[in-house]
Amino acid sequence: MPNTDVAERLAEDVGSKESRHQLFALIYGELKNRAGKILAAHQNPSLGATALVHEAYLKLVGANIHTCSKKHFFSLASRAMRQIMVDHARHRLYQKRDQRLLEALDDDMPHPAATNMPDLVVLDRALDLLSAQEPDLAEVVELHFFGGLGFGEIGEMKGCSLSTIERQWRSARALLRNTMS
Amino acid sequence: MPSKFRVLLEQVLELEAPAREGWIRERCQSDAVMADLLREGVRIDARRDTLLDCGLDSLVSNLGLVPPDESARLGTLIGPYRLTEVVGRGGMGIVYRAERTGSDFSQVVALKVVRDERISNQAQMRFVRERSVLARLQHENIAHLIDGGVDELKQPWFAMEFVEGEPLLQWCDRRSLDVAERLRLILDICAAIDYAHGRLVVHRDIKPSNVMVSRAGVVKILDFGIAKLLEHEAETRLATDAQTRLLTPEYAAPEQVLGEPITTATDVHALGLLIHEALCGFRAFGREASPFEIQRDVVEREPEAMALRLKRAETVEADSIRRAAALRGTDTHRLLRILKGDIQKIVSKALQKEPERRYANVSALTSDVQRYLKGQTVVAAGFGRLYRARRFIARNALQLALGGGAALALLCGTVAVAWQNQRIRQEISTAAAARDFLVDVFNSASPYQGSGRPPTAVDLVDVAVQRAQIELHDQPKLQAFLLNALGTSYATLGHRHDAVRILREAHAAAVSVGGRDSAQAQEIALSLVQAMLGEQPLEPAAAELADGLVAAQRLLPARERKLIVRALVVRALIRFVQGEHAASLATMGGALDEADARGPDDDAEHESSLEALAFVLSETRRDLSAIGVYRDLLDSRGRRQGSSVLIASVQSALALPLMRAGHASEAEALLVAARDVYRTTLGERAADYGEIGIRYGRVLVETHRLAEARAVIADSLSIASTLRGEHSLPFASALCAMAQLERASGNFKTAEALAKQAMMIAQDVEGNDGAYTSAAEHTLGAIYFQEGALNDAKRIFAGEAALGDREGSVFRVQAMDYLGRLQRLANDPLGAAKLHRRAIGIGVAQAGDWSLDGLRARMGLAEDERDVGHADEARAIGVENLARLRVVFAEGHPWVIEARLFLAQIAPVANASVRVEDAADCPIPCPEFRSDEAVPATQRTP
Repeated sequence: MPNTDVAERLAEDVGSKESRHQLFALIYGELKNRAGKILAAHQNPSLGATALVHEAYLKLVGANIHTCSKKHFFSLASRAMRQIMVDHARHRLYQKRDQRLLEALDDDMPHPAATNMPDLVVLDRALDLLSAQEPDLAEVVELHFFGGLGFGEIGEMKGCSLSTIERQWRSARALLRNTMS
Repeated sequence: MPSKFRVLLEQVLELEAPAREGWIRERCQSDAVMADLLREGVRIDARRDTLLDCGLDSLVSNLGLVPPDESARLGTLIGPYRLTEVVGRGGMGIVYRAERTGSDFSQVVALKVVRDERISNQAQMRFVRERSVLARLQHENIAHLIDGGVDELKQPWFAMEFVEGEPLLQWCDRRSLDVAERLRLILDICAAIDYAHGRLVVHRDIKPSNVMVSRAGVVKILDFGIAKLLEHEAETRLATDAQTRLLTPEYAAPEQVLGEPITTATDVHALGLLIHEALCGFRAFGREASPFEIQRDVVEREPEAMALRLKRAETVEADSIRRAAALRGTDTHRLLRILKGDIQKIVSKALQKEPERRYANVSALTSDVQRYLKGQTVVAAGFGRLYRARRFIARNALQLALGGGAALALLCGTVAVAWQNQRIRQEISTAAAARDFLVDVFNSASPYQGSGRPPTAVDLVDVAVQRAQIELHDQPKLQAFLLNALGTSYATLGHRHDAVRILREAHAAAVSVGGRDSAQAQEIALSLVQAMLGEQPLEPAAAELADGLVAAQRLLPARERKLIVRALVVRALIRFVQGEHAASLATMGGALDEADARGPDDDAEHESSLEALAFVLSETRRDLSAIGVYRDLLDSRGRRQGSSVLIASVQSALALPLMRAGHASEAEALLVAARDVYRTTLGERAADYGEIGIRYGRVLVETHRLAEARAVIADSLSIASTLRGEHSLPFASALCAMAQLERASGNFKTAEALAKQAMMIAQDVEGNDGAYTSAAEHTLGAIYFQEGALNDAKRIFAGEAALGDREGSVFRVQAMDYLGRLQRLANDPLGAAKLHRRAIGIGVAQAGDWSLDGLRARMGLAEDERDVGHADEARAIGVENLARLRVVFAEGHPWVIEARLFLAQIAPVANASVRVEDAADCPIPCPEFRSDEAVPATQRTP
């Protein structure tokens, strides 16, 4: 059931810092809870991650809200998702490193996670750098990659054409890759 | 403020891949670091394996989440069913084998638990309601839905008929079913889906894994309508977007990805994908791409044709095609041929991006597949033509430096007339006032004449125009309407000058009534520009009018742009006349796009655009491309049983590039047929009949049938002189043909006089650079050459060849050949050979291996090689030439004789006769003009 609290807060003046923090906390909590359930329920995650933000949206807000609030919600949620993912990656990375120390000789068969986790942490930093130079590109990456939003949806929210968003995505990919390597 | 790097990067990524490096070099001349950064950016853009591409989902799974343990629930109950075995898992959920046991029965079902999907109470109710609709679907080929509900975790589940068997594709491959057998199975699927559509149920998720074949060999479709049940109640785009993630993107239709309404056409799309995969063994979408890219491809990219897909597979893994063929009980060659045929057209039509452009329903698809299996013409056959035409444009726009002036009169006899006739018919039949007026004109025409002879069509139009000008002075709208019809009649009758004059008046009248942008004014403007195109030199006002028209049409909502295609075609033709060939083809591309957007039903629009396109391709000597488009057009007109004159006009136009491509006998046959049609429908004194006579006469000269040629050309000369006078382009053109005939007959002095006269007239009418003037000058050059006036000849050909390098000349290859010959005569056989080689290269690029111009240059090259002292080389070329020439021409043709003499001279005396005879058996393949997409009807049956 939609959470009227969130819907109301979204509809409120988004300028209030306090309100924004509370909202973020709410969304973050919901997403983290959901991500945790995925872990705990031993379910196949392949559906989970990309749909996560959308599901949180339906749960917290319901479908009938103003576009402006929608955009607000998704940028917050994508940010939250990013934080959760990166925190998780960092956590696993430390775990792994500890484990590695113990199994120093046994790295013939690295867990697939080992290849991606540091990347995710690096991506997080690169994204920070990008957002200092090209904030619009960083936003597209956050919404698409972490928020799981389609280019069409992003375009709709930002009032740009699909092709603009795609162009931004391609540039962001190249720029990020440049910074990350 | 975006960084400079980002701005440049975005620009470079917008370019086609091959153009990028050049662009980077040019833009970053002084900034090597930036250039390298950009190159790196381009490289990254092409990669599909960066972190961002693998998607969050795979990251999450790598973050240490364990795979789900489906077997944990075995032995437990869901509803009344006890789970006994995991039989499958997919994106949507887990499928168990489950049993329900009562006191006296045991029922086995397939029970699917939809994973990770919780539904609200409201949705649960809807779920139950719609479930009962699905349960009523009873069809042999639909796995029956037995039960369904929501488990304690609020996850929906379904119990279905348990089908023991194999997935469709595996079934087909294991039995090496051939294409026809595979299609018959798919027809069963179609029947079931058609049945469900009749009960208002759309499947929405047809894919190979949802189609099973039971042990008894019966096809069973699983999961019917389930996707709909799972849809969220929220009808927003976002919700639907989330919904599509339940579907497999590879098998989604564009409207599913876009969150647009799902209809029966969605299932048609899925069936298209199924045929594609069943026949070629590869999915149409989503090979090495991420889900997001697949979704984008589904929405935007034309799927690769099946045969091309297979060929590409071969480049990745050798032997792919042979294996695919073996699995289909056939050989490589035959499989590719089948896949290139009409079945590809059926698949393409089913896979159109816009639902309304696909088959209207499953039964339409079914009957086309059935027709295909019976070897009959399929409805979709006319479908690929715009796609093909667009490819021709893409291929040609890049290298369109060739080409030159053109016989525009020809065009006005085809494109414009086709539209005009149609329009006149429509308008006159709809406007009662106009009809009454014209009836009155015709009734009173006879006494008005008083010359004793029956009035001609032109007489009638003259009278009608005069009376419309006077009597309808106070009714400008009706006056404009009538003058438009009458003006276009003038154009149809070949009186183009009068047409322009009257249409201008009509336009002024229409503008005075409703303004420049009124529908009537726009329509008349179009007629006017078309008529202007028939006049030379072209008025500058024509381009402006056409631009205004295109702009005015663009302001209208898409549906109301009735004239946009024609306006763009006319604009493109004006660009062509002005020598802007690349721009012309680009505009033509725009016209084809618009024609495409207007839907497949408006055949006349498609055909007109195609005809204009083919015309420009032919006139700029893209002969092979022109032949392809003309053939498509001919197929289309033939299929629609279009008017015989329109078919004849295409046949006659097709004859020109065919002739240049060395297909003399087909060109001649087409012209004979077309000329017959013109004679019977237009009469022996019509301008167009004369025009086609000139063309036919030229082909007869080329094939050295001089007596026939003389009769035909003399006839055309007399028609041109009566209809248009001796100071006209048609007359000049006929004179020029006569000059060519005299040259071929050896009467060089007469030929020279005729060519000079033709050139003078043409120059006077169209100015120095006109197409007719160049043609006459070229003929004159050839005559000079044969007369031995080598300096005069050289001047002309050097001019043509130089023009060819800069902006293109239609006579470029011939001019280079002649220059080569002159060079050899000047004792420079090496230089001559160089010229001839270039001429051959260009000739082949234009008209293929059998290019007549190319053949002529090959004959020159043989002589060069002999003079250089390469006797073996010369002999080899000579033998091949003779073999080719004997395919193209009859034995007595002068070129054949020349080639024989050449061999006789060059062969060592003892072996001379043997060598010449060798030529007869030289294994040269016959001309093959059909492009590889067009498979002859006889090879079509699978």
